[in-house]
Amino acid sequence: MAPAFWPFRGPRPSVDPALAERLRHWKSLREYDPSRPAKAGRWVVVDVESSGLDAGRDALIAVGALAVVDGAIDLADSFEAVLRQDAPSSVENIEVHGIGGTEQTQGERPEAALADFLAFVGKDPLVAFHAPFDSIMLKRAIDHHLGLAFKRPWLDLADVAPLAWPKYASRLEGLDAWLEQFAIPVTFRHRAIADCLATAQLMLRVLEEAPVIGAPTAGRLLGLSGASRWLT
Amino acid sequence: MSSRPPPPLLLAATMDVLRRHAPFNAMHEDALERLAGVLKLRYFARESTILSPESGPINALFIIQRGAVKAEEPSGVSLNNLAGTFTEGECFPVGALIARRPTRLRYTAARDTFVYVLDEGAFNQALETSAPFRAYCTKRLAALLELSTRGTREAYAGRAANELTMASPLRTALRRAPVTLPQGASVREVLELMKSRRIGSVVLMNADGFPAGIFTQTDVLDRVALAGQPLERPVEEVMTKNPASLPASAALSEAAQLMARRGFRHLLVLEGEMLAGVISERDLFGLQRLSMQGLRKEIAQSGTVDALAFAAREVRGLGTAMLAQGVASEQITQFVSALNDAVTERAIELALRAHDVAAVGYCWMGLGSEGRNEQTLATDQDNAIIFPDPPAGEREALRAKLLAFADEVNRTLDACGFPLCKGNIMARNPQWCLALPEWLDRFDDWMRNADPEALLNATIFFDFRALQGDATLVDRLREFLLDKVKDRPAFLRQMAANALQVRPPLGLFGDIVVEDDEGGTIDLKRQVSRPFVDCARILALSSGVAAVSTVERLRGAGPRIRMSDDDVATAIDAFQFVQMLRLRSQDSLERGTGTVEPNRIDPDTLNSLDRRILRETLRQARKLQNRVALDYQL
Repeated sequence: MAPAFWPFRGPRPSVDPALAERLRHWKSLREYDPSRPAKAGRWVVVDVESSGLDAGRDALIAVGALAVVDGAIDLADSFEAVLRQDAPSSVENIEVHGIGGTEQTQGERPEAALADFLAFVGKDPLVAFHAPFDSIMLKRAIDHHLGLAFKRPWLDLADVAPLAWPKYASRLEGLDAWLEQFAIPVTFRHRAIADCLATAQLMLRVLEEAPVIGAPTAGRLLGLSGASRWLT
Repeated sequence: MSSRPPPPLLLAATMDVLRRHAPFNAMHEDALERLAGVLKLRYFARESTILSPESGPINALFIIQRGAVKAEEPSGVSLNNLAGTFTEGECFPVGALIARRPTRLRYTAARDTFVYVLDEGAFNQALETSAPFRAYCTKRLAALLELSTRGTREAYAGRAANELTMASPLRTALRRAPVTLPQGASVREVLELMKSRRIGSVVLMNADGFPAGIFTQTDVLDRVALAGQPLERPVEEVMTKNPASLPASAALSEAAQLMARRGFRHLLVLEGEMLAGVISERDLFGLQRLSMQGLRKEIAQSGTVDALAFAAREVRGLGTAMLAQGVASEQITQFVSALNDAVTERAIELALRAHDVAAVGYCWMGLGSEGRNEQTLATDQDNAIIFPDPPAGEREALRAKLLAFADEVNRTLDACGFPLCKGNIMARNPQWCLALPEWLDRFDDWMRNADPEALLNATIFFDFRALQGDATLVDRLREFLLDKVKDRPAFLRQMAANALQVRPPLGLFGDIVVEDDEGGTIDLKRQVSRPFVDCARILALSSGVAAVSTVERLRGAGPRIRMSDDDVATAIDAFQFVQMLRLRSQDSLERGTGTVEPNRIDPDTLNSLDRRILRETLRQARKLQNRVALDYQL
């Protein structure tokens, strides 16, 4: 039963009071400082797995996130959740990310997992390779399960890496090509957290280049990324 | 930060990376997990500084995930490269972290490098909870060596378990049922059977089912190929008829003796009158496990050169067996040296039967590696004679007598597996069969005129030791040497320059630089062992240390030249490691599994641990060279 006054948009799932309190808390968190040096402070590298490649329709299956703090990947500052699905995704899809049917149907309650994700991210800027996909998937899921508009700044490494290393720009396309170029190993490609670890290593390199490519601050670095449009 | 447990995959991936390296591979799962869970991963672009003395007291351990890190004197005076390079899996700066002091060196990324950072709290926790981690951090090289020794022991364990004593009956050593053909078979049929069964011999049976002869691989060459015999001939025309046999209850040692006495490589083993199998020389030596005492006795009681030669071969078998048991190389070389000494003494005693020189009061000297007690399994002869100066006019006649005697000893030793010295540094050479005053002149001359030949001679002859006879002559020669060398700084400086000519094959990134035209190998003797030996000799001579072995020289000279006990111990560990590698390499050569050159190894054939220790050993060799370079301002 929704109260008469509801602070969130959209049709309301039954968000319990404790959860509502957590969301309020998240909203009240202080925004990151765009003028801080790019290397200082916290970035959150994110990767999602979904039931397909249609960001507008397919379901969010898993979220991985890993923090880069003051220029270092903090392995303890990491997050992974498999969201409970009503029915497993297709076999072809499972073969991509390796999250099996049982793991999917016995996953975490999406509301709790996503609230944890919000708490993990805070108001720090997000990082991904091909960020629009991750961004839309998360936005849809958070809106659907929590009734919250997840509008955050995203740094898309697919945009920034070619700027940082123009000589590779024409040759390298896709995360795999960049990882290979820099000999960054991935233990389980397409496992969200493993992809995060690889992407985060690319991010460490980008942070070293940031001042050189005219982006000494976090805000300027985000500005280089076309994905900054996701900040609405 | 979330209160959730860390993603298991992230942890597993990190642990996987760590587990490829010591000490993490020896750590308990829980301890490793705790450590891996709190690591941070940092990136350093090539040439960027990771740590320097200005960074202040160290509060974290750096573990290289991938890439390489140079450590250099901050003054930029890196020509000595005292510190070297760290590569994947290596940790720094352990000493500074434990002491919570700033690092002395500047650490720079030699390549684009990712390092794990373990903060002080977690480091201390790991020190407290994990014995392997503590051992590694507090005694880095020693811990690595111990792991390696354990590895060696394990590698040989499978074999050792199967090893029998020489007292076991032959039937316990038979590995397969005998392979036979009728004696009427053609040579071709025999060869095809040998090939398809991969065996070295076939027993030919007569019509009654009893062995009539044996045909072996060596016979193929001698009696068929070189003799130009057609393959269609019946094998009975070329086989060895009535081959030697022993009952299955006979001891392995009997078989070994029979083979040695008669020069057979194969014996038939009979149960009653029936053929039970064939035992080959190779089988026997694969099984050999001999006691030191038994061997000594056998050597001392050898009545003939042949018997002595057989005992000398067993000495090598013992070396292998000890290696298998993980005995430290210093002990192995000492045992092997002791037994080789016994062989030499016996060879001399045998020669004394025909040569009346015992009353002269000469002394037989071992030189070079024999002088240093550092013989590996394949060592050629380096020896000389020193004798008291006889009354005027009798010197040449006495020398002639001693030379004839020495010639016999040298030949006996050759028969015992110590090949004649190619450089003719042997007692039978009139140049090296000298009266005491002649030796003193010779030594003095080398030290005065430090020409290349004198320097080369010094590296061999200054490592001398009394083996048999009147040792006081040798003592007097040594006193003279130590006394004179003090006044010859130019000579020592030349020696030092020589010792620095061959640099350990360590690359810019701490990698091992192989010689491509030598099949991607390095020369353990010339490039790794010799720098230790040469530097130890210089340090000992310059500080008046009388010891001859490299280990004893380092131990003796260390305190006098203000090398810390740790540095001395580490250098010794490193030297012993390379000696162990040489032993192992020679051992695999004898087993036909190694490279052709006994002292060459391909670092890629080492396991990752040994490769790392080898790198550390190369660093130690370089450090010792740098020490000598500093002393002589080279």
